[in-house]
Amino acid sequence: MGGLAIARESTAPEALVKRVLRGDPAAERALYDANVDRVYRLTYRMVNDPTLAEEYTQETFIRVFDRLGDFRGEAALSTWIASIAISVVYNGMRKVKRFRERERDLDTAEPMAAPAREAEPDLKARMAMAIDDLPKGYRTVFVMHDVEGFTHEEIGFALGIREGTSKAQLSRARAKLRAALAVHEGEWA
Amino acid sequence: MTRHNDTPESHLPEAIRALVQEYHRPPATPRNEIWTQIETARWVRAAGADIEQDVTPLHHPLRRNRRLVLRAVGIAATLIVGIGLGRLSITPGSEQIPRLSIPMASDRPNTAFAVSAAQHLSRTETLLTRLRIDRTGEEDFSDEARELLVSTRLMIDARVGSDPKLRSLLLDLEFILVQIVQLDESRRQEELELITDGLEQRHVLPRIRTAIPAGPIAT
Repeated sequence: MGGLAIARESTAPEALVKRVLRGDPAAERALYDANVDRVYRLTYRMVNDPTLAEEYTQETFIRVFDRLGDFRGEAALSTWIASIAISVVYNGMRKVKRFRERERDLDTAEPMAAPAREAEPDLKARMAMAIDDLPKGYRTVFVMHDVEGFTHEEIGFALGIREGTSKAQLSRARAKLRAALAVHEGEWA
Repeated sequence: MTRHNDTPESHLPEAIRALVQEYHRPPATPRNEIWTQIETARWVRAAGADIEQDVTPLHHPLRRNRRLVLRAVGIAATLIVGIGLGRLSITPGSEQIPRLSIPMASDRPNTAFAVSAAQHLSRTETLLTRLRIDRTGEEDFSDEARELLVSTRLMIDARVGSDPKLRSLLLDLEFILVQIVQLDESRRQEELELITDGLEQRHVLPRIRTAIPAGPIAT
């Protein structure tokens, strides 16, 4: 029993943090294993690109290990890690956006064919487009809460906003989605 | 999952809520692959931290940067394995350090380091030869030079590769690679001439060729 108790204690977040800060490589891996799925899922949902999701997850944990000494326990460790992941994703998305804008500028020099008329998207595709088109803050709150199951408290900490703001943004995001999907109302009514 | 203070009217219809889970649905987490990248990147950053301080940041498009990082990580991983095996081969109390003239067909564990070193020198030789004969003045050497610079620093820092001749060669290569990375485009031709003059004066290419064992290099 004693051994079991020690094992449990040593993998608790606070104990893991202490062990990582002491330079225990097994603790680093344990901390990573305990949190990587949540980080990868969140980054993937935000960028919809496996390569970028891997890159952002990697960068998140590099920062986590670099800054772990700054973790003061003001939120759960997993929430603190999520806040770093969101910061990494936002920074990365800014770079990707700048890069794509440069590419688009180059493309405008090329003669463009008339865009083919796409088939009417189904409900799932339209929903994905509607979520993609949400303002960044709304989309982040929506993805974190309705898709990945974060609480408003966790979202508030991760994004540096009040819980009430998180709730308001979620409500507006849902309203926008309902409006965007109104054309499909017959399919879910 | 908790839904604090959500009013029913703000909820999405049930059918939509179920569909929401399909939004950019992630595949299984490639956790071992990501962990390997993290370990390698941290190792490379620690070993090459000073590079960022003395090399002017370059403004590469995102995809070129990513390709460069991935290639550097791959090379670093090879070197880590090579250096690690080399270290394992040094028995306690042994003062014998592997020599630059690398026994390619040896069964010794430090062959891994030797192969890494030979590959690295061979790639560096190719780059410097291309640079020396470049007549167009348009080829961009900076990405490759930066990547080789990281590997060079790793090898310099690896005690197992501390053969004085190899170390001296690597330090010269480091200096040349830094110059290539820092090439000022507005004075490109002038700076390239300075670099090639340095190559000649320091007999860098012949020293690299001497250092690389004859015969094919394992890849």
